[in-house]
Amino acid sequence: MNALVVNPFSSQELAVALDRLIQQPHLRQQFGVAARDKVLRQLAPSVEQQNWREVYQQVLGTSQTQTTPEMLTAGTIAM
Amino acid sequence: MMKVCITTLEFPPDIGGVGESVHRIAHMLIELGYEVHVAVFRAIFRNEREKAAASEFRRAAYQTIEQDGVTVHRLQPAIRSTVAKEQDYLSDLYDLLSNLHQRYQFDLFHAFFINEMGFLTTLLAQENGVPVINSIRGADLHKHIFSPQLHSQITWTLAHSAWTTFVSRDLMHRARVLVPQIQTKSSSFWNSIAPLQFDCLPTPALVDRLQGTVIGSVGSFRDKKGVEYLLEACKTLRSETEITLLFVGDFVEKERGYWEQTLQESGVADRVVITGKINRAEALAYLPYMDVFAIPSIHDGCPNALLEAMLAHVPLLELVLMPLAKFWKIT
Repeated sequence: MNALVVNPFSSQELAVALDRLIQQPHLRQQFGVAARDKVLRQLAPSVEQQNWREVYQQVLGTSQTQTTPEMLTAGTIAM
Repeated sequence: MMKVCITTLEFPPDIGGVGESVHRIAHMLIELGYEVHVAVFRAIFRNEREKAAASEFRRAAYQTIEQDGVTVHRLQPAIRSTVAKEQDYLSDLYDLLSNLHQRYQFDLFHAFFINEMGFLTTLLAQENGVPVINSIRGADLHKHIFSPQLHSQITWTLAHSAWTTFVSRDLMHRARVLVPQIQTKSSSFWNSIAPLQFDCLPTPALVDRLQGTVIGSVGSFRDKKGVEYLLEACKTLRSETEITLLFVGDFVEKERGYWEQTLQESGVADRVVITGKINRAEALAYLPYMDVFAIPSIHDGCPNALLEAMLAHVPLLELVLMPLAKFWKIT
């Protein structure tokens, strides 16, 4: 786990979550390390570049792979 | 070599997340072998109206420069009258973009931010038989879709795009509800960020004012950002612990009065530090001083500031269920 998520429009829930993070430095540290790990692994430029490559090849009809519109829409671009 | 023309409302050195994203993507496309042009223009004409009021008239024109391998064209509509309407400026911009296309014969248009760039770009592309990609940003469909004036242009643009991309599934879902035929020609994926070195950044100007636990956020703060909830939460906490609420950025000018009043009434105004609009390097320098990075947005896409905070090891706290919750609520 790398973050706390609370309901929108609720300052009360937000205060509880903030207090938890303020009172637990080790939790903050754990979240910080996990967040950096996630961004380095899953949000690397090479990942985004591959996504753009597939979109451009699809639109320009220059695909050299077997990518189909259905694959692009539903499967190959992870989120 | 295929020629691509990206249309955008900002590009570095302009400050803003869309400009940063376009800059990053332009260089990715160059690496993939495309010749990349970027046409920069706004569809909001506050500056033009101010200049007209000051009798600073001008002809429509564009300036072209090479910027790190990207050909950047900055388009400016004519200023002819103090009573010019939106369509006067927009038709000028259309003509300028059309002029660029005649000169360079682009193989593909790619519009970022459908509200300002999408319709004009897509219309031109369709008239010239050139495919167009539209990349949707958060405010496009979270807010502007509710504008009766913009609704038809937005849906037409979606329907006539060769492909549409989104930075969150929720944005894509809304677009598919509005225009079901884009189901098979749309996709969503996140922004990316390259590793950053935080230890060589300058010391932030306001670091001496950061006391206790620093709860920070970065951006251009406005209605959708949910700042009110963060202020209320901090008011609850301040009786128990020393905190600083650090806003890296500024409140949008059109809402300044509202935010000044909200701050005054918040009960934590003395613990709030606002940097004002600063450049990216200065903003990044504040991240290592934050103990918690708060994204209190009611709606948002995939903000670059969030990715930068993650790189800086800052723990995250979000006040959203959509769309970021799906993004971050993971094990």
